[in-house]
Amino acid sequence: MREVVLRLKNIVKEFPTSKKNKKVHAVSDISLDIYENETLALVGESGCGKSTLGKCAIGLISPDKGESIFLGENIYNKSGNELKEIKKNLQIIFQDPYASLNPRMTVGEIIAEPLITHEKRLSKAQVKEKVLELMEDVGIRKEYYNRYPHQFSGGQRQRIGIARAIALNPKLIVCDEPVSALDVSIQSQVLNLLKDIQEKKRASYLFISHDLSVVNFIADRVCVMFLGKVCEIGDTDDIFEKPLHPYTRLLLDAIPSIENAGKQKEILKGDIPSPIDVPTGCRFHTRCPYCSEICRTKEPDLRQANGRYVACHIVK
Amino acid sequence: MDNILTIRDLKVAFQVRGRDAYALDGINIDIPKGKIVGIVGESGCGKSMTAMSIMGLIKSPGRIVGGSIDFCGNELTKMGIREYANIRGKDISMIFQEPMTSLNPVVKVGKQVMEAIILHEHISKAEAKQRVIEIFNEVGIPEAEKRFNSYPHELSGGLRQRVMIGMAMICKPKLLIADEPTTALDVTIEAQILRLMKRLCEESGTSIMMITHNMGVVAEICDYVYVMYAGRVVESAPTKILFNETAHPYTSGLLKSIPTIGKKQKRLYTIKGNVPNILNLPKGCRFADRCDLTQNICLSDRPKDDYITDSHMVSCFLHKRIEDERSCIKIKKYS
Repeated sequence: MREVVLRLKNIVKEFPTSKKNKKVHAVSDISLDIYENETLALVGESGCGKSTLGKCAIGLISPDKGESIFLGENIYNKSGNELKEIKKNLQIIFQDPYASLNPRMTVGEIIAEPLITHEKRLSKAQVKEKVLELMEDVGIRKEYYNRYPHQFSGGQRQRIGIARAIALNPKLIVCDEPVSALDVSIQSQVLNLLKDIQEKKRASYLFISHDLSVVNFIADRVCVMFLGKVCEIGDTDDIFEKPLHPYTRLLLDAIPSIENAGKQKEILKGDIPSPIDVPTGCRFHTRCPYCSEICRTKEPDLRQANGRYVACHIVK
Repeated sequence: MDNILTIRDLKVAFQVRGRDAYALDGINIDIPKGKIVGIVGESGCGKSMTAMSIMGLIKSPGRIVGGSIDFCGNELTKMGIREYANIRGKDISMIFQEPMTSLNPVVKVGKQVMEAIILHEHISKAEAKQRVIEIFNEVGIPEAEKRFNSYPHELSGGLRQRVMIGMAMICKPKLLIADEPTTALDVTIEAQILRLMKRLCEESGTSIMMITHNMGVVAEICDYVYVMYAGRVVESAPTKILFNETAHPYTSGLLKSIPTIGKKQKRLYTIKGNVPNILNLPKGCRFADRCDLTQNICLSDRPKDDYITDSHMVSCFLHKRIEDERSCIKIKKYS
């Protein structure tokens, strides 16, 4: 059995709204394990809580309930130097490479920052040497050391963000929609780079994306989310070949693709329900074509079925 | 076939530091009546600029410097502001990527849609309201009468886009330009909107110019595709032919770099390098420095638009049609 790098236990996160008794149920009781050197993808539509969960995992926001256990220790109970030591190992790459790099810092300074914060023993020259090494790793030419973010294209900026995230050799990197702001030809470059880096640095990725074809390429396991709940978790191949949860199946069906063009397909009716007034019972029942009585009243538990976990009353 | 829109050798330039930078450099596009035509390419290739030229919305320092846009016998490039106002919103309408920013946040959506019809048709307010509710029903807005009085922020992204489509379709335009209409939407909602657009196109005979970067969307609903790169159309063909008999190395590179579901790929194909800067374009083929099959001629000469079959155009030296035999030969076979 592979080692668990990060274990999320019963994470609940709710955000207040302007109305006193109403809350946005962003993440409702989710437990996940992320193993060593694997890529676990979180997929789902906007507002399903994937980014919130990703940020909870590395302690960027603290959940209302639950634990995030990194190598045996709950990160929410830690503070000061202990927390700093843990956070070295938990990094993040953001979606928008235009917003996530400080426009007034040079590339060299941006990539050096985590090193300066966490590796105080390094001399200036050593930091620079390390930065140049990282730039080479992500395919940014060394001559650009003194350039500013605006002098780079979107794809190059995302490479800089990646270099910053891997600077401390973290155990886990949360990739929050890292390629969705990029053009296809650049997207494939960045995806290949992420794969290479994982091989080299042996990090785990929590890969958040709404693009299932990207997930199919990069992920070892997939966790499908709907309105703050997990619908289905399993190996990528299993899920893509034979989705069990009706939502997973309809999500896969909905992707416009060259292979399936023109095929008659079932289209999910209706909109995503509001995360403020979540439906009773199974949260997906308002859109589900197989909805039965029990689905309206009883929330399904995540249980094992065919070598993976599914939360659905219908799936046997 | 009847074309409602014919673009010939259109050139749009921007004055940058005293020089002309060509955002569009001699493009030819035909849009047949009642068909959906896709324009695909990456950011900055000129897709949106093409739409803006048709709508007459190119802003200074940009300007149309050459070519023609013929819309049902009217030459749009020479049209005055007043004449244009009669066409825009009536015969040609447009929907945009982000429905939130294209709707007025402080006006009820029903009223906004009514505006379009009152402006172009002389009908009473009551009649106009009736028409709006009809079109809301048609584009699949539930409880249309109630939604008439909603503000944009009260609607979901999918519903807002339906309102935009309703607004665009209410005067039964001949041409609908859709600029990335589903990019900001979730996949399940995207599928709904694409189906809606296809249905409207079939029912009303409206032609749609679908601007997108998503090849899946093209495959799903377009009849005909134009692939653009750095201000030029590099390949155009009926959708099936474009995907099955891809001729231009850029098109095939683009197709290969998309991860495919149901196929285990160790690595993705990548097109090396970046899109060239329009201020500093290569002398020969604009794709030459990223192409795997570059020959000497690609670096020195500009490829012409060659029709390798009657409906399949490709602008690449790898392909040549021999006129008298009316058949195409590929100078060099590649995969």
